[in-house]
Amino acid sequence: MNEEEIISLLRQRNQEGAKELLSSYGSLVRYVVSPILTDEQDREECVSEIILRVWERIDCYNEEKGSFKGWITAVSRNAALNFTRRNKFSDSVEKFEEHMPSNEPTPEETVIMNERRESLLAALKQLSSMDTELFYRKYYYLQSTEQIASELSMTVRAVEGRLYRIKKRLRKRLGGEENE
Amino acid sequence: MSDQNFFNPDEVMKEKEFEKEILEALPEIPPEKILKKVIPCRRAMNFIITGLAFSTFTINLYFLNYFFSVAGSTLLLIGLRTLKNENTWFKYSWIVSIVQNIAEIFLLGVFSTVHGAEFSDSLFGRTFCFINYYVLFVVLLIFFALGLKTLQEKAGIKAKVSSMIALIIWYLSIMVLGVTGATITIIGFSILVIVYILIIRSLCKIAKALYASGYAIKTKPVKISDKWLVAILTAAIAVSVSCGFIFFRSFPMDWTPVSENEHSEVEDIKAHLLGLGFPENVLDDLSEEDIKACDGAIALVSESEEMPINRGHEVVETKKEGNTLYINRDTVYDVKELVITHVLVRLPGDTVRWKAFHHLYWKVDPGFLGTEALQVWYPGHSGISENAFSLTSDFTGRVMYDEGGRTYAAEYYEVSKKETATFFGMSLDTYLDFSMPSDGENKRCYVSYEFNQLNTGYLISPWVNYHHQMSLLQYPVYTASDYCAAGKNGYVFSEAQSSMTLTYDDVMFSDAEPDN
Repeated sequence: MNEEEIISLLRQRNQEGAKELLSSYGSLVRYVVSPILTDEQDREECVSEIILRVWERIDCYNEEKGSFKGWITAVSRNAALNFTRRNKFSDSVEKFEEHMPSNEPTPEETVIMNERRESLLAALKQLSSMDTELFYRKYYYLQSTEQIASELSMTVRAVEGRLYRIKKRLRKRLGGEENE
Repeated sequence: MSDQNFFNPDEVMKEKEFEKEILEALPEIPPEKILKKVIPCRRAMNFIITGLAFSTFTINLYFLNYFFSVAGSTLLLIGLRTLKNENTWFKYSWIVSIVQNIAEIFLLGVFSTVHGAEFSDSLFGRTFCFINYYVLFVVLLIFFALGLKTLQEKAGIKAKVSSMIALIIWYLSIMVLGVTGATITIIGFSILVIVYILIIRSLCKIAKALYASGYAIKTKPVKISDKWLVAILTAAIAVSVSCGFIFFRSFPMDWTPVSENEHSEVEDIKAHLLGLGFPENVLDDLSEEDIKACDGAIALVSESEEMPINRGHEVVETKKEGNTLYINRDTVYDVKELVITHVLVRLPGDTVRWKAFHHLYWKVDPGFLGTEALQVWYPGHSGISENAFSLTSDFTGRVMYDEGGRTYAAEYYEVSKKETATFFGMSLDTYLDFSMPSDGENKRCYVSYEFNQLNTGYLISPWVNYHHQMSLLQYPVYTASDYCAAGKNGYVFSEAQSSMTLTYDDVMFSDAEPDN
């Protein structure tokens, strides 16, 4: 069954759609959730939550804003982060916990955040394709250095070194050229 | 951006604060290109499919056959390295890929030596190449197909290995064509290409289904990154090929000092031959056996000429006569390095027997880089004179040079007959392969053989073609004789051709009538 058919079934509230969703996108959801939730039981619980959330919020999906795969990735990531916030289990995620954006930002905060986002995206455009991938793996997918290294057939040291340089470059770019 | 400084640029800005700002600023949905890239196993599958495409299809043009083969096996190694932890079949195919890469590096080294052709003609070499290029590759494909099936099942998608089976059958067909040497028509070739494209397309579809599933393959951090792996493989190839070029660029000649009393037992014969007009410098270089073979010689004739083995330079002369301008282009040789002497000795006996000598002396060292060869066209070796002469002996002779007041000699590395591509078709020619040392002086060699003349109505015309290596820039490495036999014409070897031509009647010293 292709992507359009699954979306259509989900919109029709057809239970077959949820089944197909799990069958076709279960692996992707697990892949996104795995680095955030280290406990196997939490992970499976979260995957079920994600499938339910997609089922419930399928009408929020807008094809014009991005692919279905991208939307599922975002839903999965947010669900996993919320899961950790609730349970406060994972040590690896606790580091990021204090940096989690507030659920209800003020209008002023939203404006600032949007401007920051634009600045960051502009800075990311200056990076090489490989560096951009590393950045997203680390900060969006929250993958460990070990996972990045093994999936990209790089050494852990090489990934660490490259991430350090990426961060340094981003700092320079986001801070303005005159500050270099 | 400088006027909108939303990120704190202070050097003291803490790592956590910066990371916090980055996390807050991240887009809700990652860009599409990132989504595609991050999909697990995509990278590995891309490497493998490209590697399979390179490994199974090749073009014998501008070294592309070597490039395709090396690129294919390297990409397969990299791709399978990522997948090897996923299941046992992938691990097996990765091990086969390692063996293939090692064999590939070895073969690239072998073909950079002067023994490359010898190796590929030998039973061991043929078996080695067959196992590496066909058997191992088919085994790798089978293991990979099984690994792919297991992966598809684990990823929860319908297992499809029909394209892999088709690729294995396609490759086996190519193998049968290659081994049997069968030729196919342009239609057959087109069908093979179309089927091949369809197979690769089908493999891409399988890979796409895997990407869509988002299945996370089992991976482990590596100790050597892909870039370093490629660098190491490239370095290994460079070392292997360089070793071939440096240490095996010439034949291993068995040089031994020549005894000063070598001719002590044949002084009488030498004196007789000198009396008949045998050139002394040539006679001094002959082996005792060759001098003995001339015992009782009735007569002889010799000819000598100086020949260039450099490329010379072009001289253009213009001459105006009336309204006509004549332009004459000529190649001028400032140095003629080689002296070739031909000696034809009439041997005693009822039948008309001859012993021919071709002697080469380099009065100027042309620089010996690798291999040299003498190509002998003895009377009756082919063509219309086949029935007029018959070769009655093996080819004898030796290669010599002087160093530190001593003379060193060695037998030819190899005397062989090779099918040679000529303007008139294929001809079975005799070649004597040798190499010269870079040191030493008075480098020289000779070749000798005996033949009977069965019909006096034909010209006696013994030829010798000397093939000299001018450059090391060739891959695969050809020996001088292989280069000539393959009908190649290029900058790597130069040729000097010399002969003497006479009739039986010219040699009035004959004392017996030939058998007709």
